[in-house]
Parts: sequence; C-alpha cells; structure tokens
Amino acid sequence: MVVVNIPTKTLKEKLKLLKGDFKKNLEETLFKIGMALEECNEEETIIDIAGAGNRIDTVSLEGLTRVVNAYDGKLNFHFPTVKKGKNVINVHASVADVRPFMGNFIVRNIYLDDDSLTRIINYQEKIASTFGRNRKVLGMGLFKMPAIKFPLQYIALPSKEIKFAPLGFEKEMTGEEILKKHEKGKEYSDLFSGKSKLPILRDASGKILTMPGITNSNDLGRVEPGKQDLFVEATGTNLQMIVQLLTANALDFADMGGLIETCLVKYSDKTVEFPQFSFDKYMVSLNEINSLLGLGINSKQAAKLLERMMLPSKENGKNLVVSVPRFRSDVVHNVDIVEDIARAYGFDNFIPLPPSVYTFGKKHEKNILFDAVVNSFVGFGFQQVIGMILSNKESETTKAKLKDNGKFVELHSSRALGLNCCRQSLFSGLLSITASNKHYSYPQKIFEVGECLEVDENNETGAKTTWKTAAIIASATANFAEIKATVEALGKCLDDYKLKIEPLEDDRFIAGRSAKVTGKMFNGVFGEVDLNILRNFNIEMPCTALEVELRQK
Amino acid sequence: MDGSLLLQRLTGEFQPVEKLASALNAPLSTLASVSSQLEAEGLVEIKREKKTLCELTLGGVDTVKKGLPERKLISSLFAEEEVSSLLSRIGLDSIALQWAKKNNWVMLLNASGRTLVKKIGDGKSEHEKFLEKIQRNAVVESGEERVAKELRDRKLVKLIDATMLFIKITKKGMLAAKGKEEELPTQVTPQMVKQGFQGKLREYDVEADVSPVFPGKMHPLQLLASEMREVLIGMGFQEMNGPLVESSFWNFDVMFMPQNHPNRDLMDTFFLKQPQRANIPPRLASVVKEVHLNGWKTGSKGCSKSWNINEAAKTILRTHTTATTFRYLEKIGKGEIKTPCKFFSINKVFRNESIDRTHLPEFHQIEGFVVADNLNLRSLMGVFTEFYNELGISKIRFKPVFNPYTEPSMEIFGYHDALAKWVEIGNSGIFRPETTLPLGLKQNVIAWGLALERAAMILFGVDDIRKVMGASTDLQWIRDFPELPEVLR
Repeated sequence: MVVVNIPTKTLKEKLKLLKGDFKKNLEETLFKIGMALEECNEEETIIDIAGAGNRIDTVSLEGLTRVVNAYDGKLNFHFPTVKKGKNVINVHASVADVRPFMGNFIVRNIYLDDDSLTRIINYQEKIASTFGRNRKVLGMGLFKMPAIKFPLQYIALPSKEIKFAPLGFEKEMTGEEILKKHEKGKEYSDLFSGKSKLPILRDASGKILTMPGITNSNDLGRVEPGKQDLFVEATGTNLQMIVQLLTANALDFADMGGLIETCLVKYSDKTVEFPQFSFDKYMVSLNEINSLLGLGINSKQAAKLLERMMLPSKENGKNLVVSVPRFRSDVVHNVDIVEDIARAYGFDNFIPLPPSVYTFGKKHEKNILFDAVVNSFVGFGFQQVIGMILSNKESETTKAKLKDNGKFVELHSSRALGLNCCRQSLFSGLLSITASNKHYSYPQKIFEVGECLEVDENNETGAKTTWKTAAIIASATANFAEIKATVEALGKCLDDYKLKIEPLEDDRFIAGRSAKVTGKMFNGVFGEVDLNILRNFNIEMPCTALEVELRQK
Repeated sequence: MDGSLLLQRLTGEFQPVEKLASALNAPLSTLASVSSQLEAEGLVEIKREKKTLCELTLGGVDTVKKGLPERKLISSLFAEEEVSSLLSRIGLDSIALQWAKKNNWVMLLNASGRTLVKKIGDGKSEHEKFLEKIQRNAVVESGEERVAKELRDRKLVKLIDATMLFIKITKKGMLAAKGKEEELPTQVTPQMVKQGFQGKLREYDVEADVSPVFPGKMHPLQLLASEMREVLIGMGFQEMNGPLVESSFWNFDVMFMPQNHPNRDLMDTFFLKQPQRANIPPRLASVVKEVHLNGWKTGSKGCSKSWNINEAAKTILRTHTTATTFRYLEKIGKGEIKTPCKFFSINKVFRNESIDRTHLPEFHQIEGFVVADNLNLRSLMGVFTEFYNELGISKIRFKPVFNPYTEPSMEIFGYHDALAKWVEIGNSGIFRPETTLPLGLKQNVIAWGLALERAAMILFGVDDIRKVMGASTDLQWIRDFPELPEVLR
C-alpha cells in the first residue's frame, strides 16, 4: 500500500473538477479510479494510490492531479517539448555488482519556493521508501546545476578512497566514516553490506555529488529555494523503474514550469537517454475489449475512454493502436489497457450478468468428515474452539510434552512473538485456551477439529497435512471414565462400534490412566492429563483429554 | 405469635403483610411487631411502599348494598322506552342514564321528535368491579387510579395515603426456617413412584439460582463458514482443498508475481526452515520462466529480468488459497476436470504479521472461481450480486483495484446499515492471460476472495479478533453466542 500525503490547499488549487463539496467529490472520483481517500482535513489530504495500479507517476501532487483531471475530461494528455542535451554521465563497470543503474536529467529555469522544495524532498523520500523498498531498489537525489562539471562518472570505489562532506557536515569524511558516523550512513549501511566497494557519482573535477542510497554532498546536494537549474539523479537495481520514475518526475518538473533537458547515460554496452518523453505502442482489438468487459462499444467510444486514462490512441481497422507513456509502471499486456477502459467506463455503469452456467455443488470430503465430528462433539455438550496452526515448538514439546520427532514444520522467521513452528498436535492449543479461561465457570468442555502439519519427504511440498480432533474436559470431577465414554461415543457417531482400546505409556498423561485407541475412522490417545503439564500451562483444574487423527480417504 | 411461624410462610419474594396476616390468622399489628423483630435479627427483609388505600364512605356502603343507580336503571328498563317517562317512572335523575350510557348498556334513539332509550347490554361496569375488589384488597393498584377518582367524585369512596409493608425472607432466614423442615424428603425416588408416596415433599424455592447449563456449541466462525458454504454449494460450487505448506512456485510464480515482488519478502510471507524445498513440475516451470522473462506466447512483455528455479522451490505457508485454485486450474487445463466448472474453498492462509486487535498471522480465506466460455467483467459482478444477496447483503458496489494476477480486478463493497458506511467485503478479478494460458486454459477465469474473520468482525460486531481464535479465545463469548441465525433474530 502506497499512501501519498498532499497539502489540501495546494490540491484544491490544482484540481479543476471538484466544485461543491470538495471532499465528497474527491472521494467519489478516487473511488471510481480505484484510489482511496484516507483523510482530507484542512491541512492535509492522504490518498492510497495502490488500487489504481500502484503507478509510480501518481506519487506526486502533479501526477495525481494529472490523473484526476484527465479522468474528469479536463486534461488532454501529451508530453511537453524537451530540450535534447549533450551532457554525459559515464557508468563505470565497477558498479555492476553494487548498484548497477543510473539515470539523470536537467531542469532549467525552475522556480521553487519553500513549500514546493519541501514537497519534492518528501516525494523523493516516499519513492525511496515505497517503490525503492527503503532505497534498496531505487533512490533519487537533486543537485545544484551550475557548479557541476560534465562529464560525470558513476563508479564504485573502496570506501577508504571516497572522501567528501556529506549532507549536514562541513568536514570531509571517508566512505567508511560516513557508514559508521553519519545518521543516514548508519541507517542505510545494510544496502552495501558484504560489498568491498561503494558507488559514487563524481564530476569532471573530481567533486563527489552523491554516494547513492546513502547521502548527497553537503555542497552540491544542498538545494535552496529560488529560481535555478537543477540536476536530477536516480539509481537502483532496476533500469526500467528508473526510466518510469524519471519520465514521471521530469513531467512533474515541467508541470511546475521547468524546462527539461535530457542527459545521456553511457553504459559499456549502450547509451540511454533520460527522461524518455515517449510512448510504447499496443495494438488492442475491439473484440478483446468487448469480450473481456461484456460490452459492445465501438472504437470511437473506446478511444474517448482511453483519453480519460491519459492513453492516446489511433483507430486501425478493428483495432486501436494505444500509446502508453513510459511512466506507466503497470502496463505489460493488452488486458491492462482494457482494464483502463473499464475504469473510464465506470464500474458503476456495468450491468451485472446473473450466473447462467449450470453446475453441481459439492462439499469436500474433509468438511463432510469435520462436520460429522463437530456435530458429534456438540451433541456431547462440548464447545468448539478454533486454535492456530502456527505454534511454538517449546510449547508443543517442553510444556505439552509432545515428543520431538524431528518432523515439525519450522518457520524461517516470524514477526509475531513466539511463533516458530506449525502444530503437530491440537493439545497445546487447547491447553492454552483452557488456561486463558480460568475465570469462567466449570466444567469447561472444549474441542477442536483442524489441520496439523508434519514433515513428510514423500510429499511434493515436503510436508503433509493431517486431520485431527482433540477435546479437553476441565472440571473438579474430570476422570478417565468420562473421557473414555466420550471416545467411544465419537466412535459410534463415526460408524465405528469396535474401537480397540489398550493401555498406553505416555508422558502426557498420568501413569496408568491413559489409553491408545485404534479404530476404523481414527487412531489416537486419551486419558487424564499429567499434572506437570497442567502446572506448565498454569491450569488449576483437573483435566482429561483426547486426541485422534482422522482417517483421510 | 412465634416468629418461626412467620418464617415458614415467607419466600424469597416480597409479600404484602396483610396477606400474611390473614393467612396466619393474626392481627396486623402483631405481625408488624413480629416482623420488625425478625428484621432486626436479619432473618427477613422489609420493604415499605407508599400506596393509596380506598375505603367506602357511609353512602358508599349503602349504595353497594342497594346497587348503583345505573344498575337500578338498567334492570328496570324495558327493551325501549321514552327518556323522560322512564326517569320519572323509576325515580332517578339523568346521571344514572349517563353512567348507563358510559357503560355501553343503553343507546339513545331519535324517533319522530321523541328520544328513546334502548337497552344494549348490562355487563358488570368498571365501577361495580372496583367496588367489589376493594372489599378484598383496598390498595389502588396502578391502572385503577381513574376509576377510584371517579368513585370519589361520586362520593362513594374515600382515598387514603398509607405505607404498606412487604416482607421476604433472607438467606439467613431460610437457613433458620430450614431447621424446621428437614424431616421432609427432598428427592423423588423410584421407590416413591412405585409405591405411590402420599406424604409431603419439601418445597423448593423455584426462583432460586441454579448452576447454568453450557450447551454444546459450534464456534461462531464455523456457523458463518457453514452458512457461506451452503450458499456456494447452492450456487453450484464444488469445494476444493489443497496443501497448507506450498512451494513459492504455486503460491507466486504461476500467478505472474515476479520473484522480487514485495509479497515474497520474508517480512510478509512465512518461509520455512523445514522443509526447505518443494518439488516443482519441470515442464510447467520452464513455461512459467518464459512468461516471467518475456511473456512467452501470452502477448505480455513479462514481469521480470530474471527467474530462478531455486527461488520457486522455496517452501512457504500458503499466503492465499489461490495457490490451491491454481492447482485445480492446472487439472482443468489438462482436461482432468471438465468445464464449465465452479470451485470454492474456505480454508486457512498465513501472513507474516504481528498479532493485534484486527490482525492474526493466520485466518480463513473464502475463495472461488468459475471456468466457462464467454465470462467477462459483468459475469464476475453477477456472481457477487447473487452471492452477497443470499447472505443478506443487497447493497453492493464495485471498485477498480490493482492485483498482480487479475485484470480487470475489483473490490466489492457492501453497505453496512449499522455502521452506515461502505465496507470492503471482497476482492476479485479475471485471471491474467499470463497465468491461465501456460496452464492450457483459453477461457477467461473469474475468481474472488475474502477473509472470513473480517466478515465475522463486521457481522458479529467483534472488536478484538484475538478473542475469537487462538490461545486467547474467550470461551464465554462462544457459550453466549446465539444459535439462532441472524435472519431469524
């Protein structure tokens, strides 16, 4: 989810459509486009852009404004003219396995006040933290143009050989020092952990502009408000994303009144010009559109709808040649264009077709069996609970005394405290629930029917799902006879009148008070729960329990 | 009088002291003094209430004896009679006639200038009933105030304000009284039934608290899931089931989710330490690789510059049941399952999230899909309109959304009357050609999913999901959850 924050006052000025109740109209328009208005107060408007394709061009105020105004028919999209520049950035082979890609352009004659400068800096942070995945994939910077001497070089150097004053510092530091002492250096040093070299961008006179991903130079990177020329830089691991980002960003600067001048970025095998104010062409047939959407629109109507999505198109027989601007990060197939037509048509305007395909419905065998078990236990007066499959190995083994057979499905890592495996048994979950309900009246009779997991090398995914049911009776008079009667009743409910019941030695139960049950539909154990287990779970009531694995056909 | 006699008579409910006095055949004053003594010992509780008492005046006593004037009138009235001749004949004034009219005993008719009285009834009037009642119980109960005032205005009764005493036994009093009753048998035995026991059994306090019965109960989530399952089966959907431990391949790669997609991060998905690798169908894997890199024959540009089979083989806990959907779609593509077909499941999925009031790292996903010829966005909308309608949600709205593996995609919003707002109740779409063509499916496949717990939180008004599922389950919530489905409440 990417959320964009914009000053409400500025947004109001830019959006031409929304007369009347601004908030209500904005919310409704965003709903139709697929975005969501999270908040709109006097100060700030917060918009979730994810639903509209998570497009990199909608992160900025200018980009959002374009999308909303075009959707409302108030903007006919085209790229502005761009000045072909000759400034070169040479990419050295050494960056290939550090941070391989760089893209740049120049903005001339742009006036920035305090507000717009703050907005641009926030925008760059937002791009880096969302699309850039905390600068790992993408990051960008802004520099004062006049002092830069071209051509530039993007190169990776050993950290000790890098020397410049980073943002906020007057004094020069080495790359190593920056990673250890500079606030941003510490925060983002992980980006280059394990690498022997760090990337830098330096000019023809050897002055360093930036150590991409970490920080800019205190000299060239300190942009102040006023009328000026700027140099824009983006780096990362995905060239296509840099193309999309810089196309969108240059368009924003043009909308703010700047003149865009291209830069040439020279790789060992190619030269790439940025920004790319151009289109990719897609040939979409009317039939594709109408069969996917269930509509009967003609090419004129389709073209009109596409225009509202900032997609210029030309008729070509029964096809449309659609021009997709380079900033569209979400279009890779004709269906993506067809969906844009649907958005422009308005989801509210589609008439739902009642289902007409005739098929038979059927319950899965698992739930036929589970339902029979649930109904049985409910009949015995038990309350159903639903535990979690995710569990804690110590709770399963040390606390609930399940023998560790080495077959636990184990998690690599978990954000939820204590979860590190999947349950093999329902016991520890039921005991935990019993422990959390000590303040309610007894007897407490609870059961669960559910899935457990264990490692199974013969299985395609390396694990097998088992179906188990377990129950606990917690009461001052809980006893073996009662739980045995429950097991036998369950057998009969599942059409098994001949359960085999034998004595069992199992740490989980009091010695001499547990049994193994073998039957047609299930195998398992039951008995009076070991008193140490009850103490481990902080349960203060005698408990009996049963657990059986249900047969899978 | 002995206080124990009074104690035997008392119950856990307040009784008026007059009633006790007549039952014990003792003067009121005696009873009052005995009970205040018992009250001091803590054996009884006395409630004092201000009441209005009603007493006949001298004239009232006389009138009750002779009958009210209107009664006199009605009993001497012929079927139909002229007004003035009637009144003079029986010697009453027009007031008697007015009360007779009010009681619906007579009606007046106009016939050629003369007014006739016609008899239409003679049932007991309110006044008569009340006068009879106050001879048994002098208290003016609520609802009787109007009649009492009318009779006072007729000078037949006097109204007096008084304090009434009500007495009930306390727990301590019960124990004291029990001593006297112990010899009576409590339990009815089979013996007594056979032999026809005629003696007295101990009486119970039927209003005393008993220990509660906790009936066997399905979990509320199970009730909701069953209801949804019933609706879907009714709509012709077959239930599917698939593995909880999945390969990244079936959970992500077949769905055209690039291997660097944020959802495939350790921070979002549970990757496994054991087992670590799953087997992957090699032929399909090579096609999927092409799809990712260059779109293969799907008309797509692809979604990634690289694709590694080792990444696809990594095991995870499935993040959505769509992994199972794709296992079924593969069978459909191979012709092992015939089309048209509809499938659904309500099963557990896992997300690497921390636990809070609204999030659990595992929850149930309701998921369904349809494979048939000529399905489109409107068919998708039609399926939901019917599904949610069956569940009682008739106001729904569709919103475009971005999903990695469906296009077009839409969220379904339902209007929640109690919350008075639109809430998201599902996500859906038509599977991208990049996902279906490699499986050999040429038709459009429509699909949707929603979280059962989310629906439950909205429908049950639950504000903390932790009490519904997992170790902090609130047993009392389950015990108290009504069995009666919402539609009948």
